[in-house]
Amino acid sequence: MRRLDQYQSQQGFLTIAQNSSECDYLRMAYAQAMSIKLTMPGSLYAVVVDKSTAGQVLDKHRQVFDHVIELDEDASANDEWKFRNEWKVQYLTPFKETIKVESDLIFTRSIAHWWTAFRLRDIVLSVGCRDYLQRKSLSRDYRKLFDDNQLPDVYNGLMYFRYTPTSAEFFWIARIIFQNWEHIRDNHLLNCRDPYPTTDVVYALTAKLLGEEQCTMPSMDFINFVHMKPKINKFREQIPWHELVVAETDLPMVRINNINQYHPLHYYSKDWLTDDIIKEYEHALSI
Amino acid sequence: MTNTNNLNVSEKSKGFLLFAYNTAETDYVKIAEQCARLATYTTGLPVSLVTEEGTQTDYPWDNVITKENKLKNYKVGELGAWRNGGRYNAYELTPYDETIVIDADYFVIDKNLLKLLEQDFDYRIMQKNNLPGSHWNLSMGMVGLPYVWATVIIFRKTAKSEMLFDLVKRVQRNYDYYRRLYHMREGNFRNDYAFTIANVLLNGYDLNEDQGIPWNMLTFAGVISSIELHNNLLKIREDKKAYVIPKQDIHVMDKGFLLSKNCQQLVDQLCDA
Repeated sequence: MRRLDQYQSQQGFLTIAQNSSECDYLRMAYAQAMSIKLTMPGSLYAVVVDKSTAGQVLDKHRQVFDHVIELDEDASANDEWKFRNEWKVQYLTPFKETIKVESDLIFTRSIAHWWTAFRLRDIVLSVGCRDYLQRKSLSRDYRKLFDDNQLPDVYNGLMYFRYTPTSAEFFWIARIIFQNWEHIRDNHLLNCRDPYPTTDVVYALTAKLLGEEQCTMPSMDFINFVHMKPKINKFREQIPWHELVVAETDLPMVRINNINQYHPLHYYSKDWLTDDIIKEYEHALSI
Repeated sequence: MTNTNNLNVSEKSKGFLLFAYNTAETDYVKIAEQCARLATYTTGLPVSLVTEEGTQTDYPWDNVITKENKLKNYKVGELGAWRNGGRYNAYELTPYDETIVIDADYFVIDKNLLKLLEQDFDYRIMQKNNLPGSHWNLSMGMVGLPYVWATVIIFRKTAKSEMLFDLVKRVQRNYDYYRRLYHMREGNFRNDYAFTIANVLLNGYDLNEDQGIPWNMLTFAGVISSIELHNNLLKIREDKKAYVIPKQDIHVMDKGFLLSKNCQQLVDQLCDA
């Protein structure tokens, strides 16, 4: 599956954007790419899209998307949660070294120095997450499945990989889990009722099988992001966080409840990304 | 180079600064006198008082500085009235190069604050508080930020410290605006909140938690029956509970106890020990 001409650049960021009936992931990838270009000028950005989403890529998107990569086959075509293509990133990335991010995550300052830390491993999953106060989250509200199954506390929102036997093995194991999800869920996981494989669970299981020490660096506790899921921030589930507290943009910085978000921000609530914020990014980059 | 080698550099002056404004119910200056006695005994540092014109005090303060304070707060049934405005004046009023501002109800029993003065910083504020037996909200509101405790602030005369106190002044002057912006629970002015906001603003919209005073304050918020010293242990009795703790700084909020004979005896005992 690997092509000889796959790698076109040394390093870059990559996300998967497959629009669903409810979510415009391409728009989020566009904001993400702009946040990367604004905070880390010269960085390259690739987006993986399905056929239908590819048709929605506009000229303005291409100003910040250095690579638009179309999936040959969409393993998630029938899923509302489109995670089943995640393992393919290793074969699709145009970069020798890739930081793979979820599309609803933006950067508020450069993380260029993280590359140096990432190179200590072939593959790095971020461990734990932070609340908007920038504190490491102790909440286990969304991690019961992980605790029940003694899975490592990894987050797929931001990860690094380069092509090596270790990372090839990682994605090979992940692929098997994605493709046999129902069997693995029913026979090997406790208290798991997810209809579709979620990348966090699949990668946690993969990390456990491969060896956590091969793909995490818990001592590098800055390699994680702010997660705006309500209970991580001690907010109520019923109200979107941006309706509960002040959210101010001073791009590339975002201030939530008067606190600067220095770590990458996984804003989670898609409605936070308004057209005004997109315009602010475009203005900053003269798009 | 220390001052022993360079006669042109004088020893930096150090001291405590207390704010005490009496109310109809509470003689805060009398409470401050006990606090000052203990602080000087424990650390050897002088103590200056900021109060209003006409306040009577027999205590041998290092300085008595008068400053008007019009702000009054009320809380029915608990603390009564208190007058906590104008703390931002500390920077301007302090006669010291290195100042420890403490609330009058803070008992300096160990030398930790003195040790902290050996470190290099512009200012340090008490960040964390243990309140045994009490359930206090440790954030400014339901979705408010965690707050610092202006009960203890240590600062040097630097540009950054000056900015901190200037910002506190701005917050006090525009408190209604900041109260809404920061989702504060209470309407009354609180120095803790004003210093929290100033600290956050001054440090790039960051909680700046790792730059606070690096230990937890110990606060007793309930009604105190007695506090006794036995063999380097403090025995603190409330109505239905008692605590035994090592001899260390404590923050006692019960004004009734602070004005009691038992409190005076405790300070006598601590100073003679």
